[in-house]
Amino acid sequence: MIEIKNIVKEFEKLDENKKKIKIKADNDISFEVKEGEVVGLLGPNGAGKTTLLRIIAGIMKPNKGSITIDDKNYKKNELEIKKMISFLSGNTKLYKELSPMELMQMCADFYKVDKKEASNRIDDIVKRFSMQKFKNQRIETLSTGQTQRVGIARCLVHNPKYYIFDEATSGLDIISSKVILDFIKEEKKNGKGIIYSTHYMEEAENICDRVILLNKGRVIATGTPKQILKETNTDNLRDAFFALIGDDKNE
Amino acid sequence: MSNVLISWKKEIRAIFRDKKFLSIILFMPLIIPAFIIGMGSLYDSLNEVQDLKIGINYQMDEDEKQLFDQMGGKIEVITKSEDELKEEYNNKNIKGYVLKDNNNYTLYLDTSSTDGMTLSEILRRHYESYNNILGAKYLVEHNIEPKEVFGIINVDLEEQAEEGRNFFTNYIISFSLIYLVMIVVVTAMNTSTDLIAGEKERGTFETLLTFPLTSNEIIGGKLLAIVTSCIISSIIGVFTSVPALLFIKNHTETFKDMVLNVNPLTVILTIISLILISCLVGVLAIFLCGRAKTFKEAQSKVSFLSFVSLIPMFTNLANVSSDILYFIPIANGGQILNDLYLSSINYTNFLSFALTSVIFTFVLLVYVSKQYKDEKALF
Repeated sequence: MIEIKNIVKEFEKLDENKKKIKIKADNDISFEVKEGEVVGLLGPNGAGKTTLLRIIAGIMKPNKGSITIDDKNYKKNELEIKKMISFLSGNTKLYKELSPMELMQMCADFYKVDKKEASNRIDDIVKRFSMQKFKNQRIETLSTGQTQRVGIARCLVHNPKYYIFDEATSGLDIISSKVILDFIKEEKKNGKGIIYSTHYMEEAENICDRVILLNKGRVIATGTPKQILKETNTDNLRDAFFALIGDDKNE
Repeated sequence: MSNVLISWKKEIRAIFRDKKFLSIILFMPLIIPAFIIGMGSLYDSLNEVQDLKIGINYQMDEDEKQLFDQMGGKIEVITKSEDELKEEYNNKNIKGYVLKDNNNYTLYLDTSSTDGMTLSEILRRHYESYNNILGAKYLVEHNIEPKEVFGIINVDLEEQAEEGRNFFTNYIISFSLIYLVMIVVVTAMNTSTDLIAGEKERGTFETLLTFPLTSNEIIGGKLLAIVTSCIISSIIGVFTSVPALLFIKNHTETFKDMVLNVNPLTVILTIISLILISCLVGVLAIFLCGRAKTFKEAQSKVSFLSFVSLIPMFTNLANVSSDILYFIPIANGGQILNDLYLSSINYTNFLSFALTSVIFTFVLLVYVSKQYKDEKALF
C-alpha cells in the first residue's frame, strides 16, 4: 500500500517586485492507494498533481510529510521503493537513440532483474504490445503510437507493484490513449496499485475506483466518482469540480 | 554490472549514435595533421630560399659573382639601368633591386613580404662578406696579413640543442600537444552540454531519475562517458599527428632530422596524462552546465571552458617555465605533454601534475555530487 501523509511542497518564486516568495504547490495532502486499486488524481493545470507524483516517485523531496510504500520510506529505502514503482509521464520522453529492445534491457539492468527472467519478460512484453516488427528499430524512427507502446513496455520490465501515471494520455489521439487505458485496466486486474493523474475528468470517471480532486495544491474532495457526484449533486466530474471550487473558478 | 557502467553504456550510445558528436570527435583530431603538414610546409618554405630574382645597376666583379654562385643559384641576378630595374620591380618581374652609387649600395626591398624579408637577410650577409673580401684584398695590397685584422677574435657555435631539435620542430610539436588539450576541452564541452542539459531538454532526465540510481551513479555514468569520448578523441589526435610528423620529416628539409621521444613509456604517460586532463575537464564541464535548464543555457555557461583551453597555449607562448606551472590545473597538462616529447621526463613534475589534477577533480566531483542532490539542478 502507498501511504501519502500530510505532504507539503514549497517552491521559491519571484513576485511582481522581484522578491522571493514561497508558493505551496502541495499543501497537506494525504491519501492511500491499495493494491488492485486505481486512484485518480484530478485537477486543472497548476493544481499540484505533477509535483505530488514526482514526490511519490522519489524524484522530488517534500518539505513536510512522508511517503510510505509497503511500510518502507524514502529516507531509509529509496532504491528499494523505486524498484517497486514505475512512473510514466506525458512529459517523459524515451531515449530516441536506443531501440525498444535496448531500452528494455537497460531498464532490466538498472532494476537488477535476473538475466533469464529479464529475457523472458522482455519477450512477453514484445508479444503483448505487438512490438515484433519494430523492436530493433531506433525509437526516433517509430510512430507516436509505437513510441507510446514502448513507453509502457519499459515500465513493465521490472514487474512493478505500483504504477504512477502523470497525464499519460495528454496530447495523444484516441487510439494511443486507449492503449494506455486498456493497460491500466489490465494491470488493475493483475492486482497492481495505480495512481492516475489527468485533467480529462471523463477518462477518470471510467477507470478510477476512487478520485482525489485537487485545486491550488489542496485536496478539495475524495471518494468514488459516484460519491462525489452524489455529494455535489452533479452529472459528471467536470461539473462536480466546478461546484466544489465555487468562486475560485474565475481566477 | 554496476549502475555507473550501465549508465555509462547508455551515455556512450547517445554520444556515438549522434552524427553531430561523432563528427566533432572525429573532426577535431583531424585538424592536427592538417596543422602539422600546413605549418611544416610553411616553415620549410621560409627556410628554403628558391627562385628569387633581383636586379642590380652595376657590373659585378669576379669576387662578388663567386659569392652569389656559392648560394647554389638560388638567387638569380640581372643587370639593368636604374629606370629599367624600377620598371621590372613594378611589373613584379624581380623581388627587389640594388642601386650602387660609388661605394654606397642601397637595397630596395619590400620587407613586409616573406621574399623581401628573406632577401634583406641574404643580401645584408652577402654585402658584409663582399666587404670583407674587399677589405682583405686591400690589406694584402698593403702587405698586412688579413688574419691579423679579421682574426683578432674567433667565434664558434657549440650546439646545445638535442639532435633533431630546432626552433621549428619544437614549435610544431609543442603546439600539436597543446592542441590535444584543446581537443579534450572541446569534446568535453560538447558532450557535457548534451548529456546534462540536452537530457533535461529532451525530457529523458525525469525517466533517469525514476530508476533506482543514486545521484552519484548518474553523475558517475555521465562523467565516465564524457571522459571516454575525450580520451577517444585525443587518442585519435595522437595517432593522426604521428603520421603527419613523419610526413613532414620525410618531405621537408627543415624537419628531416626531427627526433620524437616516442617510446612505450612516453605513450603510457601520454595516455595517463590525457585521462587525468579529461577527468578534470569533464567534471568541470558537468559543474558548469549542472544548473542549466536548456541546451543553449548550458552552451553559454560551458563556453568559459574555451578560454580555459587557451591557457596551455598562453603559458607556452609566454615561455613560462616555473615549477609552479605544474600545480596549475589544465595549464600543467600542456606543459607535461611538452616535457614528455621535447625533453626528458621529470617524475617530480609529472607527480605534481597528476596530484593536482586528481585533487581538483575530486573536489569538483564532491561539489557536483552535492549540486545534483539539490532539486534546482534537476528541474
